[in-house]
Amino acid sequence: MAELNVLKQEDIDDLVRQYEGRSIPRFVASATLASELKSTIHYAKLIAISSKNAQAITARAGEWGQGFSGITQFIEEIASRSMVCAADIGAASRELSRSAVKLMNQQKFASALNRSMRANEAKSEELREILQRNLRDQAQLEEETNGYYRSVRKLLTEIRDCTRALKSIVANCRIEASRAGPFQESLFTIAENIENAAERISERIAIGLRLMGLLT
Amino acid sequence: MHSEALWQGKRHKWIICGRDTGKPQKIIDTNQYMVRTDRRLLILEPGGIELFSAMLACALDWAPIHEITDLFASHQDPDIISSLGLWDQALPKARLHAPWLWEGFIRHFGMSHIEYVALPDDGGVLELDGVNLQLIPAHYMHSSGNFNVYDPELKILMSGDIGASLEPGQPPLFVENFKEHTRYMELFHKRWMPSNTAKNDWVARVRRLDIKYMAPQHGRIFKDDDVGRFLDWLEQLEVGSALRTANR
Ligand SMILES: [Fe+2]
Ligand SMILES: [Fe+2]
Repeated sequence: MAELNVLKQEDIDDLVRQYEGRSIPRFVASATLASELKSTIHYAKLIAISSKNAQAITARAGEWGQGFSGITQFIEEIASRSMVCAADIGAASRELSRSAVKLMNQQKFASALNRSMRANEAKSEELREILQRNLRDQAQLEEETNGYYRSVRKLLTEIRDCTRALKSIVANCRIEASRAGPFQESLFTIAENIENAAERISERIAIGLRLMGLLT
Repeated sequence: MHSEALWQGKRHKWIICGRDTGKPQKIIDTNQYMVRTDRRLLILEPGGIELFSAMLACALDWAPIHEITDLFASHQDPDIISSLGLWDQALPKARLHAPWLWEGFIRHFGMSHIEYVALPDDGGVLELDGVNLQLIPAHYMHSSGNFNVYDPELKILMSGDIGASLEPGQPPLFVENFKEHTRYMELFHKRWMPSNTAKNDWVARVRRLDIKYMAPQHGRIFKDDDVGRFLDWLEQLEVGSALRTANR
């Protein structure tokens, strides 16, 4: 199992600087996004586990836990939706990286063909046909890449909405925990764990959006 | 692509990337190794162009792009370094450590940003964030300009094509039964290793090193006594002789 990377906003500034004016290749930014958002799956899992723990506590707490118990189902649903989103972001951004590599190779091929055409004008008509085919392939790859880009963007928005919803539920969790008498302490801890994990996911999403900015 | 940390030192760790289920079927399976320190990542034998996307994704799980600072190519073969042109686009600042002999050849893979560190025939030391890795000459094993990487702290020899095995499917990472394993190595060494003199010279040199793990670029890794067993086996094997069979 690889370590979970945690680039911070300032690391991205540093990363941009390191390229000294060259733009960061799309295939790098998207592969970085895939790696950087891997940990969101982990945090979403933590939220789901916290929610399960809350269920166990509220089951024991009987009357005391009723309020909190009503929320756990909702938390679990959002957590599992976040997990699916996070996994899909990984898959789509890896595909985006792969097709961006292919596109770059096709572009290199096109410029090599153009050079050949200039070098051998007599044969340039034959080469033009190959170039046309290449341009069609490029257009297709471009479309594919843009499709993945749109998917990642949509999924990032969706996971961000999930996280926002989670954060607002945490406020309810606290209110319900305060009514849970002897179980108050442990339910507070759970609310805090959920909040922390949601916060980590938010940070990762912010990095994801920043990397998306480098992709355009 | 599967990746896992195999060995942990005081300030660095070794990671393997390989057993790629997504690779095109007809290309030879390769092991890529990485050495990770606090702030840097070295990729040993980065691999072929077909593997690049998977390999980049794998490396980024261990280090952000600007910390991938060093590449090492034991020799010029396409399965070792044909991905260079893409790494050259990907990495903001990096060095490629490779035999001086192959510089003009390897540059054909495309290299306009990465710096070529030309390794002299005698080898030397590759320093990574205070971790010293020794470059052990392995010329004509099989390539005429070729190096192994030795880690004296963790007693690892990354042996490139030496010790390679061609085994179908997705074999485990480590050799379990040496005797059984030789059948997957025999053809490879007889055909790709061209010189008995070079082979015996290499065996003698490597016997002087304290090796716990021998990690080749293809197939399974040798550990503990299997390292000695491999050296004994290779020593008695007549190499460069497959041509007689091939010509028949
Ligand atoms: Fe080779
Ligand atoms: Fe090889």
